Amino acid sequence: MSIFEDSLDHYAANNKLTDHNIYYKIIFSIVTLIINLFANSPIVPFFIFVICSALIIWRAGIPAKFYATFMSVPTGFAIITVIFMAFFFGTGQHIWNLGIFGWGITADGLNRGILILFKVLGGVSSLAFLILTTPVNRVFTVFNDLHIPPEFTDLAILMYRYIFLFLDVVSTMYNSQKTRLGYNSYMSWMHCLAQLAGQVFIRTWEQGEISYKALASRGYNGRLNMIGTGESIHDISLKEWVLLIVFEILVIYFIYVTGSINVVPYLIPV
Amino acid sequence: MHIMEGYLPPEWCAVWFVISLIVVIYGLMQVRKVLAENDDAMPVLALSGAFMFILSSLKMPSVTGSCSHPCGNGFGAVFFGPAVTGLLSVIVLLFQAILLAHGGLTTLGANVFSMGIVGPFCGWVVWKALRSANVSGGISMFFTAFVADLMTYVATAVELSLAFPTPNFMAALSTFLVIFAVTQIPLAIAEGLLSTVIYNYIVDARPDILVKLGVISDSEAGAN
Repeated sequence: MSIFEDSLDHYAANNKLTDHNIYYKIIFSIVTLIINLFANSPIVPFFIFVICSALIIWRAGIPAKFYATFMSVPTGFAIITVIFMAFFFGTGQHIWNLGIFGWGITADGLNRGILILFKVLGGVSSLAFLILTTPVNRVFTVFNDLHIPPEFTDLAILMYRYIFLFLDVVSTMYNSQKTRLGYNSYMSWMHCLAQLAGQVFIRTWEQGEISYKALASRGYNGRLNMIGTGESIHDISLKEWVLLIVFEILVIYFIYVTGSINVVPYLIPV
Repeated sequence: MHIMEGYLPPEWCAVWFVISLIVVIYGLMQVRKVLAENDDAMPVLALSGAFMFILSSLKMPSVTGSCSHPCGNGFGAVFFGPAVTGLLSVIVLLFQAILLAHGGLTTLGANVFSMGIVGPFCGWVVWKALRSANVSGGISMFFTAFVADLMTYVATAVELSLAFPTPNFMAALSTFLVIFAVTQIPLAIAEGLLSTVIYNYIVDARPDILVKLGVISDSEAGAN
């Protein structure tokens, strides 16, 4: 409920890259994502993170504060992972001892943790580039070109619409429960939440019947027909293709060159 | 916990994608069969998916005082069956990845496997077993949600320890399981309790929906 109020959809539909060719954005984002996985050193993922963040904030004009909130959850988890990996997932000598339980940080574990942190940052930022600059509805039109089964696409489209309808219902119910002193103790929390979820389920069912009638009265026969916006992969200019390919080749080259350079022993000498 | 973007090495991303794809295609075929019979199933399916998404965006108090959200996959398995839940979970996880940055595109296969396939399937087995042993719906729901939640984390632990087998697979698995156990067993209990209360609420208010979905029999619904 919190993230939706700061509407991601609003930014996705109103930024400087919204009308940019969708295929170009998707290819850039997915290829970068996949190449990012092959990195063995945190250096390249770090640069992917910097480049994608710069594109998002300056090229697309998404407010930095919103982008930071968006990135905070994955980053938080990734930092926990670093601690976890550093302590429990290494072999060999400890480079630092905690002093209790014989726990300590190993060079191997710390390297792995840092690598994952930056790969997560790189991955999430290149995914963020796609989702912060492109409205989800436009992504669905691409599903069609990928020959994803139409049932799947229809389900996704309807579901996307219903999610926002229900978020509205949920927040109304939540507020009215709150104003009637709900959620004030553990048991009341459980009870209120269950009522809320149960009621939403029942609403879901009733809404389903209504929306079927609405669809059926407009000639629905089990298939939604979408009109594409007429964008095509052929609209991407040669210059853009060259730019994209050069960028990805450079990324691959740097991943190859940097090999498995990591914090230990380069930043933290053993 | 969703496995984040960039967390898994590429070969494991591919492995889980292939495994999940097979199950999802089976789920899609099931859905196609249902849709061929009656075309009013589509809005209901979409709404169920939306419900699963909403359920996973609600904050749930845990026993230890921390907050988390319910998985909702045990619930889905009971109401819609494991195959359909698998398909719905793909879309739900996709939306979580692209709307909330929970999980990711490259790890979608792994997340679908743990949350959309293993969890619901184990939950569904428990549900069927308990119901055929004449255990009441509420209690069965508790164990279904508990097992589905727990098995999701066991599957996640297996995925992570296959990806990071240091010093070896079994040692990594036990480390992950111990860490998850601390945080997840209280959560699984909380989710079980919550599911039971939701289930009872729906049985009280609209038992006819459950009869239509084939969750409970006519006689159990009573004179509503």
